[in-house]
Amino acid sequence: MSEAEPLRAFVAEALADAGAEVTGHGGVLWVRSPESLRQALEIPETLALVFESERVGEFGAELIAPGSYLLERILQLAMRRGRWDRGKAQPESDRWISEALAGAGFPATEGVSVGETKDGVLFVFTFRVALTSDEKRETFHAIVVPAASEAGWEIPADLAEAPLSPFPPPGLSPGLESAYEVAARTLQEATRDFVETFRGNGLIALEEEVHRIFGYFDGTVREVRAAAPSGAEEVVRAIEAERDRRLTEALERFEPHATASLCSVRTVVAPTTAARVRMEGELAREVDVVVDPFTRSVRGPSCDRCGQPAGPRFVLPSREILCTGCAATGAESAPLRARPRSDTPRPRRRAAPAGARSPPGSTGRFRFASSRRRGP
Amino acid sequence: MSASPEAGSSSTEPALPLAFDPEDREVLRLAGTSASDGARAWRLNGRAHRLSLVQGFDRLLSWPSLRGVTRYEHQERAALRVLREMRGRAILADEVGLGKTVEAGLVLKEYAIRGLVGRALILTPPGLRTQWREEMQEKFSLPFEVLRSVQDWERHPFLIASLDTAKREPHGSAARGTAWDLVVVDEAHHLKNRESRNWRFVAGLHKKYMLLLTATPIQNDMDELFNLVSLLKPGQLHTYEEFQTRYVGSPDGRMPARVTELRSRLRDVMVRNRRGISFTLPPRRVHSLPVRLSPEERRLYDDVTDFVRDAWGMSIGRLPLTAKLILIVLQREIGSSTFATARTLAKMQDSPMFGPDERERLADLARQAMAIQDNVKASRLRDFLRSSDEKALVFTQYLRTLEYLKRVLEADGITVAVYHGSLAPAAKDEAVRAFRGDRRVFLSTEAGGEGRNLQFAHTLVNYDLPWNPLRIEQRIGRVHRLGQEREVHVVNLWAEDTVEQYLIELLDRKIHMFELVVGELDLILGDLEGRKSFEELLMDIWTLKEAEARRAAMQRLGAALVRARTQYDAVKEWNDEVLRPVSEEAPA
Repeated sequence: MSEAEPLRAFVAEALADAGAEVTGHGGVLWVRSPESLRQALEIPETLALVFESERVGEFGAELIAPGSYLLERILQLAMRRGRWDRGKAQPESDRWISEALAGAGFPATEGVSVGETKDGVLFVFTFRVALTSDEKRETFHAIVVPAASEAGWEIPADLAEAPLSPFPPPGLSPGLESAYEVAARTLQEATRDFVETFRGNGLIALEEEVHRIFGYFDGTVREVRAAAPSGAEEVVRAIEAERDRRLTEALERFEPHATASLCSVRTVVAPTTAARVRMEGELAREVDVVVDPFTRSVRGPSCDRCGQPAGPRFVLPSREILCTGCAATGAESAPLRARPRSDTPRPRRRAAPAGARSPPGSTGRFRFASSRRRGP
Repeated sequence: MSASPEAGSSSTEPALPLAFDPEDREVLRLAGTSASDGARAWRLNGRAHRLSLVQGFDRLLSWPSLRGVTRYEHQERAALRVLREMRGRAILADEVGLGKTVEAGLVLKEYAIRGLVGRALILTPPGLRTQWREEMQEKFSLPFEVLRSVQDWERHPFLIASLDTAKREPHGSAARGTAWDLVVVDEAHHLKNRESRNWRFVAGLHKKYMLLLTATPIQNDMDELFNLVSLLKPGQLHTYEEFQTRYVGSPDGRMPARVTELRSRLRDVMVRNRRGISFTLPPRRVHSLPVRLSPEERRLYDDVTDFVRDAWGMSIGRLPLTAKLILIVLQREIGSSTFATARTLAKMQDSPMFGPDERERLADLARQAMAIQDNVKASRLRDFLRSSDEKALVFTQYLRTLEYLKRVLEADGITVAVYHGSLAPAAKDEAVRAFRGDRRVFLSTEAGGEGRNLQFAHTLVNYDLPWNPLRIEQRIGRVHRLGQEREVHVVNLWAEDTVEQYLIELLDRKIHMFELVVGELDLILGDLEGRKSFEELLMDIWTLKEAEARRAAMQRLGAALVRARTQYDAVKEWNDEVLRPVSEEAPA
C-alpha cells in the first residue's frame, strides 16, 4: 500500500459521506459535489484529486497531502460532522463471554456460571489532547464510561469504532453529562505521565534559556558598569529592559499548555452479562464479573493491589486480579497469562524523568503510520 | 502505587491539568437532543482527528505537498535539526546554491502544518521580495504577500517586507506591535552591527522562532559573528567582553581563538552545509550570439534611445516618476523586440505626461516600430535552434516578444510550449508537461518556471537580457541547479551598440557572472549598489548624452564590480576557514 493510500481512502469516504459522487480511476479521484459541499470546501462542482505530487496537473487535478489547504478543509468538515452516534453492540459469536474471560486471563469455561443478560448503556467519548509550548504534541483517546458508573477507562480507537446495529433513539441520554465528567477525570489520569514528561522537558528548556539570558544581560551590565562607573545608568536600564523583554518572550515560548477537546460521543447499548467465576489455586475464591461484547472487558472485582473498584480486570498466573495499571507494572515481575490489550504507542522521546512511562493513547495515528510503512 | 488509567485513582492534582474545551458542553447538549450524522460520519470524525494529529517533529510532514522541490538529504537534515535541536532559532549558513530558502520554507511549512506558526514575517533585501513570495507561494503553498502599505501589517498574517522599509516609520511601530510566530531574515549579514538600526529593529521584534539566512556570517571581523548569534540566542557566545577574551585571537578581530570551543558553541545555533568533495555542479558554457540590427531596426533603436535620453535629461522636476519608469521600460523593450516596443510607444503617444512635441515624436516612433515585420534577432534564434535537436528554454521579458517568437518558431516547424504569468496554474502545469514531453522549446516570460524542475533541459537562451542581473541568474537557476547532471549551455543574444552590449561587457567580462553559482551574484551586487539598484546605475550611464562620458562611467562601474567580486571571494574563503567544522557536507 502506498503512503498516500490511507489518505485517499479517507478523503473518498469523507466526501461521499458529505454527499459527493466519488469515483476513482488510476491514481485520480473524480469528485462531483452538491452545492452545500462546494460551498463548505470552496471547490467547483467537479474536481479531480491526486495524492502523489508527481501526478499534480493531470486533468488539472489538485494535490491532497499533509499541508494542502483542501485536505485541511476536508478534515475540518469531517471533524464538524459525526460528533455523536448511537447504536447497539451485537456479539460477533456465541462464545463471546468465554472469549472475553479467556482474553483477560480468567477461567473461561470450567467453574463459570453465566447469569442473566441485560441491556446496559456505555458512553464512548473521544478526546483530542494537545500539548503545546514551543513544540506541539497531540494524542487521541477513546474513553468508555458505563451509565451511572463512577469510573471509566481507555479503550483502543478501533474498538470504539466497532460497527453497531441501529437502535431506536432513546431521546435524551440520561447520565451523559455525569459520564462526561467521569471521562474527563479518566482522561486526566490516562495522560498524566505523558503531560508530566512534556511539562518537564519544557521546563528544562525554559530553565536553560532563563539561565542564559540572565548570564548574558547581567554580565553585560557588569561590563558596562566597569567600563563607565558613572553615567552608565541609562545604558544599564536599557539592558535590563531588554533582558526583561527577552525573559517574557522565553516564558511565552516555553510555557507548557495542555488542552483537551471532546471530538465525539457514542452511546452504545450493549448486552451485559453477569457471571460467577471460581478461581482455583493459592488465591482460590469466587468472583462476580460482568462482560459485554462491545468493550470485551471483564469488570466487577476490585483490584487486588490498589483496590480500585471499577474498570477492566486481568488475572496474573498467581491468580491476582488486577486493574490495567497494576497489571502493567505486575507484568514486569510476573508475566500475565493474558496481557491486557495495550494501546500505548512507543514514540521516540527525549529523556523522561525517572519513573515516567510512555504516553498512552494516540492509537489511531500510530496504527495509521505503521500501516503506511508496510508498503504495497 | 502506579498511575492507573482508571478514574479517581490518583491522590494528587496533576501539575499541568488538562484545560477542557468549553465547547464540549455544546457537543453534549446536541448529542442528547438531535439526530446524528450517522455511524459512518462518526467513524470519519475520529479518523480525521487521528490523521491530523501532530506528533512533535518526528519527521517532515510537508514533503508530499511541496511543488517543484527536489528532496535533498542535507536540506531535510537541516530542517529537522532546526526543529528538534535548535527549537526554531537558527542561523542557516549554507554555502550559496545549496538551498537556504528551501530549508527556511521547510521549517516554516512544518510549523504551519502543526499550527505553531500562524503569523510569519520574512525580511529581505528589496530586490528579493518578489522572488521570496513566488517561492513561498508556488513551492510551499504559503500565502505570503509583499508589504505594500501600512495596513498590510494587519491584513496579511504571512508578510514579506524589505528590512529597509520595515524598520522605517510608520512600518517599524506596526512590525514591533505584532506578535510574530516566526521571523526570517534573509541576507542576515546585514545585521552584523549591533549598533545599527537593522540589528536593533530585528532584536526588538516580538517573536517565537527566528531564522537568520546568510552564506557569510562574518565579513569583516569576529564581532559580526557575536552580534548575529546574540540576536538569536543572547549568551550563547557569552557576554561581549568574554567573547573577546575567549574567542578573538588578534587585535584586528579577524583571527579566532579557542576555535574548537567556539565551533562547538556555534553548532548549537548554526547549520552550514557545504558542497561535498563529490558534489559539483556540471560546467556551464556561455555562448554569445551578437546580432547586427537591420537598418530599420537600427534607426528605430537609435531614435528611441535619443528620445529616452532627451526625456530623461528633462525628467527631473518636470516629468512624474511614472514617466521616468516608462522611459526605462521603453529602453528595455527596444532591447527585446520592436513588437514589445510598438505597443508602449502607441500608449505613450496618447499620454498627457508628455508634451505635444514629445507626443508627436512618439507617434512617429510608433509608426516606425509597427512598420517593422521581422527582427534579425529572431532569425538568429531560429538558426541557432536549427543547429541542434536539444530541448531549449528561451526566455524573454515581454509577452509581445513571446507571441512574436511563437509565430516565428512555429512557422519554422519548431514545437513550442508557452509559459507566462497570465496563464492559469493548470495551463502552466500543462506547459511544463508538454515541454517534458514532445515540445522542443519552452518559451517563457520572466515568470518562467519559478519553482519548477526544468533540469531535464540543458540549453537556455536569453533572447533578451533583463537589466537586473538577478533575473538573469534566476533564469539560469531554472536549469543549472542541484540535480542537473549535464553540462549547461547559456546562450546570450544581444544586438551590437545597445545597452545590452554594455550589460554583457560588465557581467560577463568583468565579473564572469555566468561562472558564478546561482545566489553569489546578489552578494556581490549587494556590496556594490548602495542606495541605487544596478538597473538604475545602468540607466544613469546609458542616458548620458556624451559617448565619452558614458565610456568613462561604464569603466568606473566595471572597476567597482571587480572590487566587489574580489571582496566577496575573500569573505567566502574566510567564512570557510572559520566555520569549517560547523559545516556538514551536502551529498552529491
